[in-house]
Amino acid sequence: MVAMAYPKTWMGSEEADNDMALVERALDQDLAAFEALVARYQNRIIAYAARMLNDHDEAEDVAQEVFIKAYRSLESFRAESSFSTWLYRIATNLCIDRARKRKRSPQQAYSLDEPFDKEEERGGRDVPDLTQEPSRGVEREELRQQVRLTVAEMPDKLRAVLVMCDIQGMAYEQIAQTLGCPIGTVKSRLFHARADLARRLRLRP
Amino acid sequence: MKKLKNDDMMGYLDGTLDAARLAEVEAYLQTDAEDARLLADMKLAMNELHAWDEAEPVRVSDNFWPALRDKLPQRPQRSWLRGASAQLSAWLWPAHSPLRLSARVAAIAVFVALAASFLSPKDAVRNTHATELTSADKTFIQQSLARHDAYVTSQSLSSVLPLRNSDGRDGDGDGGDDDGDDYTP
Repeated sequence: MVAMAYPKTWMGSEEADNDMALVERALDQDLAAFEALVARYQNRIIAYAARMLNDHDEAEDVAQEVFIKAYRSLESFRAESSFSTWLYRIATNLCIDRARKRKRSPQQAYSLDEPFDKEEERGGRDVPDLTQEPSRGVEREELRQQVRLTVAEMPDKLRAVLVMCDIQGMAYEQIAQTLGCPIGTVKSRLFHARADLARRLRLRP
Repeated sequence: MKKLKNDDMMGYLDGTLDAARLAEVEAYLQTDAEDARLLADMKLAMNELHAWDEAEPVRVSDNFWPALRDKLPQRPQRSWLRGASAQLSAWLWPAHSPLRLSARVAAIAVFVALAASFLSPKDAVRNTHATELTSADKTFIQQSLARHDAYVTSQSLSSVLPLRNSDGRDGDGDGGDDDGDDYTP
């Protein structure tokens, strides 16, 4: 059994230096510099929010809010962490806020039939090719749906760590910085999230 | 071998165990079907998560930046202190200059040296003796001594303070500028 090489390096120091230069330019009223920062991170932030919230449209809303907050607070960015870490921190807080509001409002059932992205042009669920190996294709699709459902139902803290590490490939150090907790806590949460997911998959019909 | 610790399981899943430890863990998994199954299921889950982005890539809509640009509040304002600092920094060592790190180290060294010279224990001791009296304090002390001398004279203390008389002091109040070091009760 070959293990995956986690955690992997996520961002180089050169990219971080470049981010700082763009932040400085944005602070000097250079909107193009801020646009460059948005272009660099928008897909990652939206992907993160989409996995956290299980809703692409809401993820775009959250991502807009993340960049607006970042823009408004750009002066307070001290480069104690990387710009991407700072964005992820804002995104995590906003996603957790949204998830709490959802819990307070009437619960929307998660439909396994509904396409993840709702709109066809954004790409719906991956439809397995059943012509070759029908039983394996169905089984694989069931597995995927069970994974999505379990991740969606996980406690926010476990889900955040799982999405950052196992979906987005962030290193433990960066996750710890983003969440403001020790690396040991990140590892512990990740272990419980993975084990929970594994047990749920085992129970599937 | 004892039951696997969570750290070992995470190291196994992440592929970060050294060869010796990996061999021990794999040997252990031959003897514990429950842990072996848990790890296999965790691995399966990780692979599914990893494949999720490839199967369903999330991409930003074309309208993302134009919509965001319209929503942006007033442009971020740089405080004068940060602005001055950035200007000075850019002037002293431009970004990506190979001398940037050395210049920073030199600046920190100079700062530490200056701070050390100002805050040395020698200065701290000297400073404790450096408190000066205000003119009001001096006047008050002079007046008090003058009144004391006047009192002493009026009470004819020749028999009480023989030392002062033996020094030739006449006790008429001129001794007010006496520094008090030779005061004998």
